[in-house]
Amino acid sequence: MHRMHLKTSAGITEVLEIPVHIRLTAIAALMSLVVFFLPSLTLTLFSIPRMNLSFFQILQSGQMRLSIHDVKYTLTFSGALPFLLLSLLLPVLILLLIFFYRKITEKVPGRAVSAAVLSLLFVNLVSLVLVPTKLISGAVLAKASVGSSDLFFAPQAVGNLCILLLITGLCAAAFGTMGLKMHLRMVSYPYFLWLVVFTVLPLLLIFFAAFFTKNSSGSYVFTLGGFQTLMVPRVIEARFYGLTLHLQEYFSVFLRSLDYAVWTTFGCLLVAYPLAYALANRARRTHTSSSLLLMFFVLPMWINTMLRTYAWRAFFGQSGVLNNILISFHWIAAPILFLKLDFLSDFIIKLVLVNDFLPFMLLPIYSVLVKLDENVTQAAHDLGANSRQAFSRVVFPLSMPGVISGIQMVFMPALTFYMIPEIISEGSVTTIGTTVQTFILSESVVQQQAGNVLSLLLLIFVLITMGILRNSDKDTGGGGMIL
Amino acid sequence: MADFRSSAGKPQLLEDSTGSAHIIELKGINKSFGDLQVLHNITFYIRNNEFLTLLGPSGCGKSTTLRILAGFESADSGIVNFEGHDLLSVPAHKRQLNTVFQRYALFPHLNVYDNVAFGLRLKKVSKEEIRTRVDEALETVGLSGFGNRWVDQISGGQMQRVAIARAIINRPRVLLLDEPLGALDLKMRKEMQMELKEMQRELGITFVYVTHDQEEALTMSDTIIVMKDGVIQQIGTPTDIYNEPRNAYVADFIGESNILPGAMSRDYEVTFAGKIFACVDPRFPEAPEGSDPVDVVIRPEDIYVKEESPDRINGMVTSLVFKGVHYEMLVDGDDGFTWMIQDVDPVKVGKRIGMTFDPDDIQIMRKSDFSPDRRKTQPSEEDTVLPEDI
Repeated sequence: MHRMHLKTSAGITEVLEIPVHIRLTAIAALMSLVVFFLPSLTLTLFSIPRMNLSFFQILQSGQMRLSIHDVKYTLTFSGALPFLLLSLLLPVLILLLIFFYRKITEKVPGRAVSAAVLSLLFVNLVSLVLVPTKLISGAVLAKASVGSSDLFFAPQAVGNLCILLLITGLCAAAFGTMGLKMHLRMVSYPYFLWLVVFTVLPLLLIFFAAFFTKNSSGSYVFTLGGFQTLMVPRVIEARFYGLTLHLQEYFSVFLRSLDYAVWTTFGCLLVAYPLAYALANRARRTHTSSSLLLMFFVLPMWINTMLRTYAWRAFFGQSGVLNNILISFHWIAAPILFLKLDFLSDFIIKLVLVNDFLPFMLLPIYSVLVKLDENVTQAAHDLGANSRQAFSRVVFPLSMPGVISGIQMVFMPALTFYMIPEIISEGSVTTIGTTVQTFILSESVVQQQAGNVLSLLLLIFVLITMGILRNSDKDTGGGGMIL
Repeated sequence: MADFRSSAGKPQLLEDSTGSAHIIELKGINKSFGDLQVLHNITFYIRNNEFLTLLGPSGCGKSTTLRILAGFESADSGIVNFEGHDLLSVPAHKRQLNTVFQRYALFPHLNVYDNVAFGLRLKKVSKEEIRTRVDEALETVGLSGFGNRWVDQISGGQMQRVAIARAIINRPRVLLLDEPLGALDLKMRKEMQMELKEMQRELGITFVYVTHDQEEALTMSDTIIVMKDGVIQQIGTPTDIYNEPRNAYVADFIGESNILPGAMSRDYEVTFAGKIFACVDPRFPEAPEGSDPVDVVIRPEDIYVKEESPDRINGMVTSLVFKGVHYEMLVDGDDGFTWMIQDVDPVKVGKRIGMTFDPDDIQIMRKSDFSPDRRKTQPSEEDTVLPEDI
């Protein structure tokens, strides 16, 4: 622990030298003391409206007026008195203990002090909770048709915050009692919870939903029904680039999505790399780290995707902007159905996808290129490399981490993206995304399972792709990689 | 005088009394960045196979000169001849010069072997020849067997050696070195200085070396060019530069010196510190009749400590520092000047002494408006942290 050398006040120095967990406990105790005096009894008595007294006022007047559902009650505090006093005295005691922590720990081990603080804080919490139930008798509650459990849960943010603080104090004291020291890295612990709740748990649930089903007796059994639904040997006609292919139904769907994802990635790379190169060169030449020009290319990212996609459809639509222009110039007589034509619609979907994902490819490549050491390129020239050779042998290999992160940021989402193909093709194109949606929203349990299995298969495919990309970047050290 | 190669006036013909071959000649190079002119009429030549050092503080234009030679910067005006051919119109990648960069600038995506082989691969040299020549280059810099290491797995000194090996693999006519030892620690720097000098002799390549470290320049160079604010101050051998600094700036930049104002009214006689001294220099030819103000340099090691006497410059010792080989003393002279003396025998602080020196240790220079700060005689120290010059 860092010792702070404040020579001005011995008392402050002592308080600052006590361990983190004890300081946290002090905050909790201080909070419960303040709550006692603040007109915020509502903190623990939230479901009862229009009551705004502090414990301190009850202690002063001996009684309080309360109105529940417009019926007024007068409450006496006789039953709650010991708990009221406890919730006043305990925080004071804890704070005194902490203030003299240094002196006390000279004789008693710190763990014992922590244990004492822990037990005092616990009693404090209990007494705070018990006051309302002792104040308000069961008869009053029954008359007002309010349950006693309503007294303990605070539906307001302030109340929840206070309870959280108290619990944090309890945890901190428990830490001290166990002889553990609190470190700043514990700030990261809640994120593990986040990881478990929002990543691990959902994955487990998907897996469970995909392969387990409830049988007639109500218990869960393993099943491959969903998997078999996907593997059903039904062959359909699919059109790819003017060719008509006979493919297994869901394989053709997968192929369609893969086709979009690959072209989106390739298109983004083709547009983004030269653009990033030019922008990075410009930024280096003008000695600015951020480029206003770059912002303009990223700007569309901040507009809702759906909105943009509908705008594209409006542009290419039957009575859209493009058709209107073409007709007004008398280049065509009747509107062209861009979105209904097999080949054109396919092209437009890819165009919109590239437009949509461009920033995700542009930014990682730009950030790597802009940080590239100018001397390294000059060294290449110095050793006899012309511009083309310097690019292919030095600049491009060094920008690979950016390219790979760009691919990861574009390919993976593009594979499962269904909104753009759906909106542009007006529902006539089936992608993996739409298939999963149809499966999951269906009434049939087997179909839902198929949706989950499909999600898992996609995840496995994505993980494999990512693994390949990661390995291919081993040589360059992976600087600038996001995943 | 040793400054016959200098560029004091208009671009002049470069005459060399020794008659040796010049590999590079620069004539009247000017260069500005925006409103700031960083090079003023730079004119000098580089002899074949010599070790030439551009010496000066940060921002003096030495690196810019080197970058113009390498082809990374263009000159606003002037001529650069490389063996009689115009060099400025040749793109960087076609010049027969190679550069060792200040921060090494190794290719981080290649290992040591591939870094060194880079230049040869571009020339479509056969695999076997690449292998022999890379091994040879690595051996030259003392890194045999390091080929498979990644450049981030080796130390700063080793990176520097790789950078040198990479630069000499193409067998350039001239090697340009931009403060190559700047990022190394003192001991490593001393070692590398010796090795570089040795390497230059063995390889028979002309070295153009940029540094702000005067000691480094004196140790390694055949010729030193002292620069300040984009103007060449003096060109000469290390001995010339040290013993006969052309002006107060050079005297101050190269080593410790006592620089004081003086005057000459006749040949072989100079007045300073209120006394007349015999010297070995005649008056400057352009000096007017009567008293001509000059700057006088006396090196601290050339001063003899003697007894106090009315016909000597007298003073009191105010500080005494042991420097290893000698003691360094500061003496508050009765003339009002603080003298620095280096002597192997210490004199107690507070003691009064007299000072003498030989006539040929008095160096007379034309008066310049440069006024050296006694406490900052080595401007190089604070420059070491700066990553690059203009």
